[in-house]
Amino acid sequence: MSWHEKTSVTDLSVGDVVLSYDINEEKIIEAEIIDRVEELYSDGKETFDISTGDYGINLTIFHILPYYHDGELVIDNCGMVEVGDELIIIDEDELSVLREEVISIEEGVTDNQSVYHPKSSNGYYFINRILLHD
Amino acid sequence: MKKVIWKSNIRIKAVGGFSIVVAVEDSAYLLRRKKGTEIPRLKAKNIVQWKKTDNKKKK
Repeated sequence: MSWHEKTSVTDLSVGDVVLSYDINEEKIIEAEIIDRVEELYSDGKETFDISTGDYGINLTIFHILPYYHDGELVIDNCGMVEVGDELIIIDEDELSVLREEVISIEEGVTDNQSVYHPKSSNGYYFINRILLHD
Repeated sequence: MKKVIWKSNIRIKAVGGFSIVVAVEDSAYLLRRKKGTEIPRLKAKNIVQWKKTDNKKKK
């Protein structure tokens, strides 16, 4: 049983409590959504569809995420992630995290897509179970 | 404090408000606490639960 439910980034509201992660303490925490920018239109910006096989996410070049490269923690924009790097993934049922290796990265560009940028109280949240930095 | 490596210099742009998630057809989801749910004590040790702070000062 999980005490957390999937909610689309488009349905998220300020004040919602979401699963997050304390990078320094290496603990799962809950954070409050404190802001949400929506429906920006971003033309011709590079995107990266990053997949571990089980989990995947499509991000713009400007988005930042923590990942492990050669066993060291890196927090950088998603364009720096390489196949073989490891993302931080949450198991919300067990309330534990694991690392999963990136097996593919597909590059693209935005084409008048709506983009959403939630902001959490501690600057991190899981999207599609993958830890991201806002 | 954990050692963190920055491999690029795009961070400056990112913190300037351009950080965005592409959400296509509601495919991107977060994990939100179900309303009115308490995490059982056994599991609660694995998570720091969010608690609303009361801004009203006690007199």
